[in-house]
Amino acid sequence: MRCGSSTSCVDSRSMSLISFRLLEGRGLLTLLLLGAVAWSLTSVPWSRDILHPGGARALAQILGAIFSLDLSPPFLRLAAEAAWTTVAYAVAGMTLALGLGLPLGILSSGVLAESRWARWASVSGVRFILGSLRSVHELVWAWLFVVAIGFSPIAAVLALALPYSGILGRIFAEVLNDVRQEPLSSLRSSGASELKVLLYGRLPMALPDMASYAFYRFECAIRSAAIFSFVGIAGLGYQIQLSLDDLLYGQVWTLLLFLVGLVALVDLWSSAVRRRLVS
Amino acid sequence: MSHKPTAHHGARSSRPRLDVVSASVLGFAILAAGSWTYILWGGDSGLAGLFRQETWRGAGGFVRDLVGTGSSGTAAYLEADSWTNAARLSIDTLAMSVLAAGIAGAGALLTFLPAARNFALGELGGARSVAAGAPYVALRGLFAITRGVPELMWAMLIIFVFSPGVLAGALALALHNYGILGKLSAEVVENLDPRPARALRAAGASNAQTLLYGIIPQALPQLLTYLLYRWEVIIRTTVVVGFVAAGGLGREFRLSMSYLHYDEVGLLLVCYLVLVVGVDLASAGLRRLAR
Amino acid sequence: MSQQANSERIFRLESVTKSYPGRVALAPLSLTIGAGEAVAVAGPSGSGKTTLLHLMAGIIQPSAGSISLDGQALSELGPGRELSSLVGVIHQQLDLVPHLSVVHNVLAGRLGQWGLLRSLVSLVTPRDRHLAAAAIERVGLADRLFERTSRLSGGEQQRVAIARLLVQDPRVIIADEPVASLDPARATDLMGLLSSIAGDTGKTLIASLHSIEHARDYFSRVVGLRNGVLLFDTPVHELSQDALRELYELRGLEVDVAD
Repeated sequence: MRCGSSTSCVDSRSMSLISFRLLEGRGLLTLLLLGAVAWSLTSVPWSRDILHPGGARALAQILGAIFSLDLSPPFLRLAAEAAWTTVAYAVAGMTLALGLGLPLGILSSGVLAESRWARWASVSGVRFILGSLRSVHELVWAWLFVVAIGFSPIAAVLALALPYSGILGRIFAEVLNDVRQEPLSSLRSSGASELKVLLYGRLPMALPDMASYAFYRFECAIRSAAIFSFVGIAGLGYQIQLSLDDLLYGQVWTLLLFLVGLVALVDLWSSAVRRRLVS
Repeated sequence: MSHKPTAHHGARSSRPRLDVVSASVLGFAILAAGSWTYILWGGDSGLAGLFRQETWRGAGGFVRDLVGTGSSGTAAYLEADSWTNAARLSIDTLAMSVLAAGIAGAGALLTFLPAARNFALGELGGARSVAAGAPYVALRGLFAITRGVPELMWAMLIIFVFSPGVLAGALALALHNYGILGKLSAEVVENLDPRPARALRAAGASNAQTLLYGIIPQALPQLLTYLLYRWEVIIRTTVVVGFVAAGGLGREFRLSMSYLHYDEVGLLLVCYLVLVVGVDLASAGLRRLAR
Repeated sequence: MSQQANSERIFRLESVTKSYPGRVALAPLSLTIGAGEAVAVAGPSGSGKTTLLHLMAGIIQPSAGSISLDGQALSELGPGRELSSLVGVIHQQLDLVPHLSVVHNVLAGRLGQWGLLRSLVSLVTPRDRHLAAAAIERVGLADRLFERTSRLSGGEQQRVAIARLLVQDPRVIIADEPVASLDPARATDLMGLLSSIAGDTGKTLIASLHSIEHARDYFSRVVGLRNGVLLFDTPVHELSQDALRELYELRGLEVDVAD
């Protein structure tokens, strides 16, 4: 038996302090993590051909190409256009995710339920839906949508919106439950129903945190939209894949810089907003 | 807030001002309007297709195939072979996620200190020097780049060098997560209470001793918690990286998709969901140990 | 209690008790309050003042006994419109939504009357604006109507809470330590405002107070509570030093129900 609390096993502790310390809390966690990594290493087929034949040369080529960026105006225009497509999918997906995530979050917070039973049903039911939405990676969603409804911007937007609404809904539910209770009970004593308490109390109080989290997710949405290329959806990632296939590494680096720049820009924007919102 | 100044201030600020937050919300609204316009009218959006009957018939057929009641039958779900194969791939996928988390965590553990601003400025002990400033700038840049490039894109680059497989996928995942973990753990150090470290130095501890006794014990639990959170994200992404890095469930998913064996795809999705839920539970349990 | 025998009775509490597992918050207590009266509930902290007020406001339910409000059983009044037109509550400072502007916090007093659609529209363009404007003027904050509530000081926020009560327009105002967190000068201002508003509109005012001074100045009747037991219930001018000493004395043994 592992010693959980400090008082329950004073005797055994005093006998062999060190060995028991190792088997509780962080000591145990460290051992487990090291063991897990060691196990995972055994599943790698270590052999000479773990490196790609000619891999070192390819690596040198790729790294060398960083000094021969393709900065020709037509290519820059192409890159900018691809970047805008990525942004458009990310933004449209985010708006849809917000539209889905807010009602789902409200339902899964259980704040509207008048009876205990209704609360249980709404919380566990919607929480399950949210959990399933976010369990599946957005690219898997994208692939499923592409097969189901074909290549189109709408497939990209839906593929982004579904998992993101699952994440947003979960966080929104937590925030809505965590607001201060006194103003709410005061609203109730003014005769407000739970729905009006939500409108006049919970939502206004939770809004800064919700907006802050949404802006953080927006940053992630840009990255996600960029990789949708893999299933054939347009954007920066699609161009990167085309250039990689043609072995035009200079173009690849230009596009990567566009992507990193875009992400950094949104990162700066979102952290500026979040600093204001939190203080 | 005192009474009089606010009354004075109030008369002026009764009109809403355009601050960073409202400007950003407005900016996002404009971006959203532009994006939707571009998507809906900038070419074929695919929205019209959503209202066509054949789209729905096709989608319905796809879903029936996925759950094994469609035209391709229930083959994958009934064969013991496909289950054992999927189980083996699931274990590979799990190994890939653990390896990725391990590499990213080890990398972050080795580099998070010099990347913390207060460490670089010498506030935690040691002298402020250009020699400490250079690693700070370099590491922060490294974090930004590794973090900025998605896992899948790292995978596309890495398979030029490494043979497709568990290691290549794990490396791709590790690179991206290294950037995230490095940034997060450097921020942990920046937000640390500096007093224990100062007290240790006052008691005559060397730099290394200050780190070992004053800083790392404070920062480590938070770092482990972040690592476990990232593991939950990594397991979801492992499948995606597997598409290109060819390890685990991802490769099989891609093959089954291209052979239109949607019943197999459905089976793999089931395994994927089991893995995701299992890792979420394991991570929650392990996080309790980290506290 | 003879003096309000003729006036209409708004509150009647009969053998009301409230107990929590392992603790009796309020021993059996009977009390009648006439319409338009100003009653102060005094007593040291932990004496059951808040419990009594929360029972009267319908926020918590009694463990035994009955409370009738305006001739109806309190337990049968539905929350929302019915109850909110009879009783309005004000707490110590924590009851406004800091992120909304003052006008919405004031108009929240109308939520019991408004339908959902109206409540929703009002968040964009305030409805019944004249009501809010009149109420905010009455509490002396006319120029602050569209300011964010969090920018107001504690005393000003308490005034906004009073303006909300004006808009809600209940027959009884229940105030739980309304001035506890204010400095003495501002506390006196606010007590005066609350009492003059209740007097002008003929509302019944029931307030729990820490300081007996405010009770003397603004109330006609004082109810003393100690350890959940009713110690005295007397017109304020008959309040004796002995009764006060007994109420606040630290010894606290052999407490009689002095009624």
